[in-house]
Amino acid sequence: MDVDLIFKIAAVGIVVAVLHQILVRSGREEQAMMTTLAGLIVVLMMIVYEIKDLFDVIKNVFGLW
Amino acid sequence: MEIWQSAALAVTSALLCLVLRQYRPEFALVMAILCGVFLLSSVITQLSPVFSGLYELAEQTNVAPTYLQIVIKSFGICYLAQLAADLCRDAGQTAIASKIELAGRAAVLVLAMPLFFEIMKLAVSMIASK
Repeated sequence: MDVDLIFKIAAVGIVVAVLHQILVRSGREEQAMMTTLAGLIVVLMMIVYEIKDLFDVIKNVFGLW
Repeated sequence: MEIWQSAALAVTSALLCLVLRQYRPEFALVMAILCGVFLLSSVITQLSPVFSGLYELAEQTNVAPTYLQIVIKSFGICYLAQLAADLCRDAGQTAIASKIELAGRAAVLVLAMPLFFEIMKLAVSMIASK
């Protein structure tokens, strides 16, 4: 369990928000949208392993499936 | 994780979510998911000796472990369904949240059905023997 991941996600979120603002102000709405999407995918790739760990823990402790 | 670590993690991520929500709500949701996953897995890791203790107790008192297994499995289903439903509700999707709650209830019901049928069989045999 890596708690730093939460701060990493917050940092990625803030960076993406800033990039989004800058790109929107300079009139590049499509690129802003793509940046947001890319950031979201990166963050989702980061949390997917943690969710898998949670499911493994639940499977082991409760004897599910 | 100790309890104070869990509390600190919860408050910190709530604060970060609050900041992030104004700018990018989807990242706030991802952070809420991650925080929920961390807290739930720490709680369940702490609970695992309780369940193994219960299994030992059942063994000593000659209760069939299948009954206890059904109870513990339904615990797990409830935790999972509650986590998913709360996250959906955070994302503003109350309809999906109530559906996953319904799915959790159905799963527990299906799990408990053999026990219910056993009780019914017992009751029927008692009534018929009269």
